[in-house]
Amino acid sequence: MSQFRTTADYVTAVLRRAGEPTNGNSSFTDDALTYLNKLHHIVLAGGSVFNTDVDDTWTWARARFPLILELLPAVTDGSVSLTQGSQSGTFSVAPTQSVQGWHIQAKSNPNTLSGDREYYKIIQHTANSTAFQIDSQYVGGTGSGIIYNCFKLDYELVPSYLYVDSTNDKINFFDLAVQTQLTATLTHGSYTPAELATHAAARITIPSAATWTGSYDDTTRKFTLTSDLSGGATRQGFLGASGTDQGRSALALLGFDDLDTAASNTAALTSAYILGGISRLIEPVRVFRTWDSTVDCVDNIKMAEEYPLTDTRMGLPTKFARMWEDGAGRIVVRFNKYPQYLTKLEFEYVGIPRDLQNNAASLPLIPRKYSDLLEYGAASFISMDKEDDKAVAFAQLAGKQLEAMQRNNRAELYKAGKNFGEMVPRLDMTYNRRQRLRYGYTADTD
Amino acid sequence: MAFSGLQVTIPLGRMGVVSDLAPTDVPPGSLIYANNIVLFNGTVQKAPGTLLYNTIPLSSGIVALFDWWPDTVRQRLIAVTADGSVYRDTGGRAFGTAIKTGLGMLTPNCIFCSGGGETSSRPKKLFLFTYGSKQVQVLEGDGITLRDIQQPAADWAVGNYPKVGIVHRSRLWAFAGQQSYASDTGDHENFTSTFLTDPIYPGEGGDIKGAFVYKGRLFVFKDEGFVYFLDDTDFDADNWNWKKLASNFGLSGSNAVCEALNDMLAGNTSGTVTSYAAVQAFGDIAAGDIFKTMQCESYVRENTSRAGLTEQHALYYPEKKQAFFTYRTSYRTANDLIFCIDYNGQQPRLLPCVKGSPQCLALRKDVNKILRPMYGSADGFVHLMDYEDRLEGTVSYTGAFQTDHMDFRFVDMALANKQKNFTFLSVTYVPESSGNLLCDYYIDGKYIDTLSFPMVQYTETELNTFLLNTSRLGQNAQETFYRPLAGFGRTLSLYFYNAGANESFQVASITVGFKPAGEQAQKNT
Repeated sequence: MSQFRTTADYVTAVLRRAGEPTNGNSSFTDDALTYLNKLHHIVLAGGSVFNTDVDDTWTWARARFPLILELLPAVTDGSVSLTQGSQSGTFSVAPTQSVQGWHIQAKSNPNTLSGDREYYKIIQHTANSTAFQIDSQYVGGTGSGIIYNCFKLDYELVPSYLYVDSTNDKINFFDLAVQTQLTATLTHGSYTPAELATHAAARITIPSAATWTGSYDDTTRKFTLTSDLSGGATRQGFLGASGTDQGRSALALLGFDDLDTAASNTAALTSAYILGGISRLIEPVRVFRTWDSTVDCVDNIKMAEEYPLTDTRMGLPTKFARMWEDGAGRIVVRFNKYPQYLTKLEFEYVGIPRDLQNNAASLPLIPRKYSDLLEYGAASFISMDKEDDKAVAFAQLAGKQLEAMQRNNRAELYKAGKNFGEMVPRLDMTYNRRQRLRYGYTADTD
Repeated sequence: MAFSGLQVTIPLGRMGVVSDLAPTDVPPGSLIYANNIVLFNGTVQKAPGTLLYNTIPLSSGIVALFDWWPDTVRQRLIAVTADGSVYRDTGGRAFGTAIKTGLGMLTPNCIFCSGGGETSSRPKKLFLFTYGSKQVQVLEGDGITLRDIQQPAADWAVGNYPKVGIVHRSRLWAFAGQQSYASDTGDHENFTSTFLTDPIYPGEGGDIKGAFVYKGRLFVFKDEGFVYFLDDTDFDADNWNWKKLASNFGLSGSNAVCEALNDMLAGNTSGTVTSYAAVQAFGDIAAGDIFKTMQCESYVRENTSRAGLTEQHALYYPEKKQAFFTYRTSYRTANDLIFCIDYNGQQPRLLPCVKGSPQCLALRKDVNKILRPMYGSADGFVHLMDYEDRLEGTVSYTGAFQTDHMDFRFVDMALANKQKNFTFLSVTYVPESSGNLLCDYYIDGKYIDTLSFPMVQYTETELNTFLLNTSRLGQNAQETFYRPLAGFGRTLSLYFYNAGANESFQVASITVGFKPAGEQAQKNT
């Protein structure tokens, strides 16, 4: 057995600490795994009962690639027809993309005396369709040929692109009841989720006797891979635990667990986790269209006060607010502006970790040097269940380990940085990036 | 940092198997399972092994053995095999050619009876009763031939040969059918003149299958559970007569009776052992069931097959104060189990031994004239029992015992329902073996893990010890070895065992360390 390397190692260590047998006969084996997962989530997400003062962003917890979001410019082509008291409207020129979820504002309604600053959210629209529905009845005067502005402010944070390289280009699977391992190799490159699903299925089909199809559901944000069980194939499943390509498996990218899936001859294989679930956002959003620009997070009230929807303007966004979030890691943000052009943003984040599994293929994200945190933390939970007075000591040790992690993290920043954590009395002693000469303002800047 | 929980020491070596009590009433230290152990010097020890007497097996399974001393000097070992042959060994541990063949298919119900020597000029004689298979056989002195008895009763013919016999009141008593015969006092082979014959409650029960002399009184046992004794208090033998003692329990096999201390023990047809002393004293049959008294009757019933009872042997080993009864475990065709009733404690204790295939039991004098037990096995070997090696002949065997599922209410009643964080287990032992003692432990009845305790003595140098290479001279001092005990639950049961060649153990006590928790609901196990 290796030592504090795999989740199985941790389960063993936790059980031993808690005075439980480590041979699988403990009634706390499942609990140990549950508590390890709980701690794993807590430490990555920040905030821990073991030490509430420690909430650092751990380097090892960051997503390997930032989440790329592409902001869309407004749609203003043609005009719209709206009827007072109705939720339905009509574009004179059908937008080529769905504008469902966008906001629309009638800018020059001749039938409305004071103009129309009211805004609406488009609840339903299909790409290339002129009909749309708004989130309430239209309160302005009925009219057609209304000049409008349709813009998107709310974005669900989901990766636009997925990357396959030498760390995630293998899929170990089987297509017979005996679960003989087959291996598919993905082509390195950048894929949209839908492209990745199609590509993965195509590559799995090569070694398999059957033909596989793949799909990605934008709503559930999950992948589905299905075998047609032809050519002598009788079962389908992935070898997330026993596959030989651990360390370069694409199953994590596709949202599958580090488990050998049960041999199935009917069900499609659907990922367990949503794509790009976010545990926490850790830095201001980066914008590269202008020099030295970031988009900072504000709370909803500030966003509403300073950037009311009725006065939404075009430009590179400078603020965003988290509008909604769920337990799986879906986050919807609202920007204060919409861009003139298609604009790329980067979100640095900590993803929601997949569940740890009690096997050698499952590896915690927490570095081995901090193994005490998981070991003592989970052992304290079990000891509490057992009403063992060792629980207090374990909890204290876990808290101390958190503190030590924080100090270690900051020490590394201090040692590797120049002014981290220092009060610098003179600005000339700090690093100043050379500013290019910029004159005036462009449409993309304030 | 000192251990802050409870430490409970459980003495072993005091109680044998206890199976007839409610789990909550079982006293600490009693065993719910035992195999091949003995309780001696206050410790639980692995039962001694056996030494093979003969290196070449006899022609068939051995059904009767007798340590024959034709005089005070010469010692012979007589063995009867199931194929009807009789062998004689003169001490070379090689029986050689059979001294008699053709006695038919024999069972362990054959009985030897030492007689003869009626006058100083007459030789001792060894009588062999073949349980009715053939005529009574006689080995005269240190002779090398076995012959038919010279003057059998007139009605001893095919189908009515005596089954059993015994010497009592200077006569050789033989029993055929329901009739008793007593030889002439001057000639144990004379059943034709000046002999006695008397029917024993004819028509009642089956044939007479056993006879035993206890406290100077001759008891006979019939099939179907009838027991009689000879009222021979009258000076005139003509006035002797048989009286019925019991009609509802009887002898299981013709050799299933022995005298132990102040008691006559008889294996009965219901599969238990009857104490006749208790029966006589209390006049109550139930009170005489020794297994019931030892509270292990259900254990015997659950672990034995009734099929072996008709061939049961009983033997008392006076040196160790142990009585042996052969039994058969399930699905076997020959007896393979010995229940040892140990009389070394205040109360007799039951200790099962499943090793070898003992068909017949007998005592044999060792070089110091101490009677030692031996058995004849189904594979034709004579095993000298109570041998220091922990091998059954040449085969290693398992010695094992298991404690009750203890909830530690004997420490504090409040502990019974509390969950416990088990922390350590220590074993206090007397080192005498090179092997390990393994311990499977069960929490709430579920197997948790196996621990290993070395049975060797400490090898580190200690003050005033004498080291040769790495081993010290043997010691009789106890040592204690600790192992972490992991798990959480209400009850704990410990199953100790080892099975390697010549691996042994002597365990005096065990100590369990635990921290009491609350009365949480049971987790799914």
